[in-house]
Amino acid sequence: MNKTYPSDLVNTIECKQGAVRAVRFNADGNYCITCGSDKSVKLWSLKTGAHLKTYSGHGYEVLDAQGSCDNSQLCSCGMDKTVVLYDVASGRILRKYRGHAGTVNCVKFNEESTLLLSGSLDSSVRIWDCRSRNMDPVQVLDEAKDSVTSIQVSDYEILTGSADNKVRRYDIRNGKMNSDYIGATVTCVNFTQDGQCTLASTLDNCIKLLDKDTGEMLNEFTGHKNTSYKIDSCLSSNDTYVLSGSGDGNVFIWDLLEAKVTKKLPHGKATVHSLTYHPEETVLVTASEGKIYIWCSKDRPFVTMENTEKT
Amino acid sequence: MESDDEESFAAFGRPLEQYEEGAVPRKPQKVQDQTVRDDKGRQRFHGAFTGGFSAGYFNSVGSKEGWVPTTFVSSREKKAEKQVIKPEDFMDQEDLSSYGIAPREVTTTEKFASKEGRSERKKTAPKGHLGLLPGVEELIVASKSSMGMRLLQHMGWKDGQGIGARVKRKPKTQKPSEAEGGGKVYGCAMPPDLGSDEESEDDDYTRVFTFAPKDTTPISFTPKDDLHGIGYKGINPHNAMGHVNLFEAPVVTKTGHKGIRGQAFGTGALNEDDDDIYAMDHMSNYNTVIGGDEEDKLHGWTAPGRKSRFEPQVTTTITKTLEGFSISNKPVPPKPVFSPPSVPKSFKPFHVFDKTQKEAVQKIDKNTRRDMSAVKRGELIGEQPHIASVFELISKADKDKLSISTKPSNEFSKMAETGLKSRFASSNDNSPTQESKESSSQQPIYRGGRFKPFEKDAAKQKRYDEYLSLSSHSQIDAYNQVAPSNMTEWEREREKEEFKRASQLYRPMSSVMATRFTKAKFSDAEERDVEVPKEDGGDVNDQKTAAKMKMFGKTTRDVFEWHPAKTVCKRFNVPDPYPASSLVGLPTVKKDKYSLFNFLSLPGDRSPKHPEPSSPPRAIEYKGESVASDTPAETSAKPTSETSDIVTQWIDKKKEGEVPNKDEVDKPPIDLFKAIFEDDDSDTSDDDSNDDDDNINNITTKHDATVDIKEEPGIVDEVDPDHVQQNSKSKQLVNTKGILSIFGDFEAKERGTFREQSLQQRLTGEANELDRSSRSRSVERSDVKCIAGPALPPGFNQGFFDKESATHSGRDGSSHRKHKKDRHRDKKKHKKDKKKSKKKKSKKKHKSRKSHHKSESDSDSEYEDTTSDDDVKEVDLDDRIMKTLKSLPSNKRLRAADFM
Repeated sequence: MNKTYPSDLVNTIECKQGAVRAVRFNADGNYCITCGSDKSVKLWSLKTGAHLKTYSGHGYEVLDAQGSCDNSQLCSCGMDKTVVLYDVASGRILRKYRGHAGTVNCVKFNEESTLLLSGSLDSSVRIWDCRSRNMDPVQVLDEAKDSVTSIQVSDYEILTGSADNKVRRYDIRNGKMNSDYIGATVTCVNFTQDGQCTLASTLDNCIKLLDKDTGEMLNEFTGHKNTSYKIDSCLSSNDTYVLSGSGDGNVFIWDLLEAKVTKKLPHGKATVHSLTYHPEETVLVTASEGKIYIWCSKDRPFVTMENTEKT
Repeated sequence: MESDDEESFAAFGRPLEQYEEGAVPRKPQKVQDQTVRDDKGRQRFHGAFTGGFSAGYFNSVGSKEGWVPTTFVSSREKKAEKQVIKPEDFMDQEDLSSYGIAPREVTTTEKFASKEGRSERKKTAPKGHLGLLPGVEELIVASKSSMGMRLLQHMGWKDGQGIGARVKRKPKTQKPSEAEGGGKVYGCAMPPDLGSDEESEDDDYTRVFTFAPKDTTPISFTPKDDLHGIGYKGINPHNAMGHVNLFEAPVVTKTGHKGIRGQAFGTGALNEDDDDIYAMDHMSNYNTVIGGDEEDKLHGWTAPGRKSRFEPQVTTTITKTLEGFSISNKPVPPKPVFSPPSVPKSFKPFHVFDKTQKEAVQKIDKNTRRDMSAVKRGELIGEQPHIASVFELISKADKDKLSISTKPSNEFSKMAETGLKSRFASSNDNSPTQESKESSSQQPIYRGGRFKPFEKDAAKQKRYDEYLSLSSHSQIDAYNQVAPSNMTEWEREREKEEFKRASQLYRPMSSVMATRFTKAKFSDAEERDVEVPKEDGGDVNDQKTAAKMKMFGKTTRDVFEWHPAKTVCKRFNVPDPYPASSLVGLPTVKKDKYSLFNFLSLPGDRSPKHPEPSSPPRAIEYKGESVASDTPAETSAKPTSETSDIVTQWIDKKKEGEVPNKDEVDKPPIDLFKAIFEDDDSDTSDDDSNDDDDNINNITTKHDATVDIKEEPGIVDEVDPDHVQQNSKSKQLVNTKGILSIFGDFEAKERGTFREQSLQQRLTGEANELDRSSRSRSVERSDVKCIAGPALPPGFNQGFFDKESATHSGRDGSSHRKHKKDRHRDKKKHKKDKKKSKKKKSKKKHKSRKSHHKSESDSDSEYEDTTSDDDVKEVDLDDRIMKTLKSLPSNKRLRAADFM
């Protein structure tokens, strides 16, 4: 098994868009999307560290974004209560969904990028159909009692974490909804790559690995600081490590099985609140304040980064 | 001669053009028609009535287009491209030329210019190092030195020094007057100069160093380039021509008495002074103070030294006075200051209570003031007892009367309530009948006490009372029951009208109010009636403690039935888990949130902590309410209607083991498999006319489901026919024939009625399959049920089949049979045609289609049923598939290819 983790800081990019609220890899991992507090979404090439395009259209801070599976579209959501769908190449706004009653915290495409799922402070998840011209949500999941902070979508499941201390999993195939009481506000939820477990970050300085089917806790990852911010966590591309930002300016890397802190990646004093893992390679991109940091492993340098050095 | 003349002519200007013969000579253009054009040939002047100078968008005025207002063009699309708009974009090219308003020409850049704008200087201003207040710092601006200055600085020049080679300072001794001190001094000696002392001290050092020359300001000589006399200054044209300000004091220059004074030459000493025609008049020459002219001879001119002594000090602060006003000379009378009142010596600065008052207060305290009423308190103070209510003013006799009349009105309100109850209460209790008895027995009494419109005619009054009591129970023909038989038709009609009007007119107040308001459907007191959403599944406290103990799992998990929207399923490429349901979201959650508290956790709510792992999907919307979502256990605990009675029966049977047991229920619905094994377009089929095989299958199954409802007439008034119709149209009631057959079979066996026969006929399509039909099915029932997929909600099936069988036994068994036969014939025929078609899809679909087209006239079988004969092969195949499915991990998606 591949036991490498990102340990070396390769590049730092000053995004010049205020605080970077979120950083996300695109589908193939060559590009990176950052959401700024200056209402802009920026697209970066990780090969060159170059800024490719700025997408504007939000009226307030942008909080989350995602690229579609074919890289042709981009969705973002923000504090202006809207969800915006962009055309990547032209930067045009294809759709602007207004329907949430509050700040939209998170947005995700479904697997085929035909639906948009957005979770909001108004304690609802709204599902928007990108294909149709209908600007109303196809379905509203208003089971949450508090702000929906995080959302994940698999091929047949919707996983939401909310501030009412619950992780909800909507199984579309079976027509069931499981809600797991976690005990603290959930800031981030993830599926493991094998789809058997869920990972939930909570505001009690804890990340929990839960069995998807039974709801039992399999492992718990502690040591980092997560009490006040919406701090992201993620899994490595091969499920070996659990990574999370922290309030103390580090990124913590745990071994998934042993739940021991393998490495801390120092960023400075400011909270590291967003991070994203490359879908295949051992590359991590983190966001802290106005910068994004690109981390690679020693043994397996990011191939594209080598190209950069040559050029 | 002639030739000479010609030669001597000199030609000036251009010769006129030679007109050709026959051509109409062109008229010369008149002045007003001529146009002025610029170097690029564009018209520049348009005249006042066509827009004036350079009007319109590039002189569009006067052109054919004229003024075309620009239409709004959305810039949304262009937002992505970065646009920098400069003012030049809106300017003409001429404006940019050297004579335009914004000339583009070579100018000295700021670097070389010695004068800088304030804004530039601000930019370069160093910040924060001066240690001054922030506001002050902004005011101080570092001056930027010019190029020459900087060059000098480069050469070693410093501010304050003169320009030139450095020089040695001359020793002070050379200065004759100071250095020697030997000069004679007469009178008092001057005090020794400090500065000179220092210099003398420095003298020793200064000899060694060279010094920069002293900075001397050069005298600027302005060359005289005019012909005026020396020192002449022309009149300032602004002063000469401009507005004369009379209020400004004229400049007084003291010239003394030297020189020539006077007006002009030519006036002698004897001549009286003419008015100075060039003198400037001033308002100070006029008296602006009314009346107060005695002292002031100064005409408003108050030189500083000539201030009046009495002038109050305040005026000094007044720098400006309003025009036309002057400051008064009279001092403001001083404000009278009053001395504070003298406090008597005996005064003590705290309050001593009166003894009598104290006692009263104590008395009140004993009575504990809070318990006292306002009246009592009033009594205590000695107030006149005020009237608490109007009733106190009524005499006793009247009160008695009143008490009689109010008593029944109370009763009536009660009655009205019960009446309403009887109207709205559910059928779970038979109280209405009791209540009606009660009220009917009471009513005449209070009616009599209350109001008697027909008091004179006792019999009529009695009839009226009865009529009222009946009509209050919303009996339509109330009067007809009351009406005496000895009356004629006309009399009855008249009295009926009379009663009706009387009852409307003389309705007691409470009943009027009662008609305005409807009673709440669910009383707040009865908790069980409030529909609590299922979301509050587990006990929150349990979950909290479990989470604290990190015992995640069963206690912290709540499982709910959740219905995804159709589009969501489609987009996720997942078959709808509840194809028959039109519901979206959680089933028990009320759609409209009445109150936040509805959704907060309630203690002792009735939803189960761990709902049945898979409650059967609802197949139908039952009178708009969701029935299917209730688990059987729940319904059995609280039987409310006859349907639920049947449910309990059914559950009993289930307990006995006659019904499929738990593990079968867990299976995904048949449509899941359909979606896996069948072509993709089956779930998107929308129109009946489509002859596609896949679609037909779909339609068949859907149609079967509708039959479930429609076959029994007993259910018709309960099921909204429109709703069913709509469902059948929209293909939401997809069900499987398997379910139908199994339940039907089971049902028939239970009853042992005619139903069995008819079902057998339905189930056995062909004669050669007869032997396998119901018997083999009943034996293999559980297995078949596995294949069939989701079970129908128990209440629903049971109720319907119960009635269905009853009605069938009563009525149209024969007609039903006939239809079956017809259909089978069709089916046979069709089978021949379509032998090639796929095994799984073939028969039933076409069969159903045929039947659908036939549209039987019989009302009961309007929605035609189909037989549900799976041949054994199919069953075997399905069994095999089920096994493979079971062996697979749950999360894995299946492909048809896996089973090929």
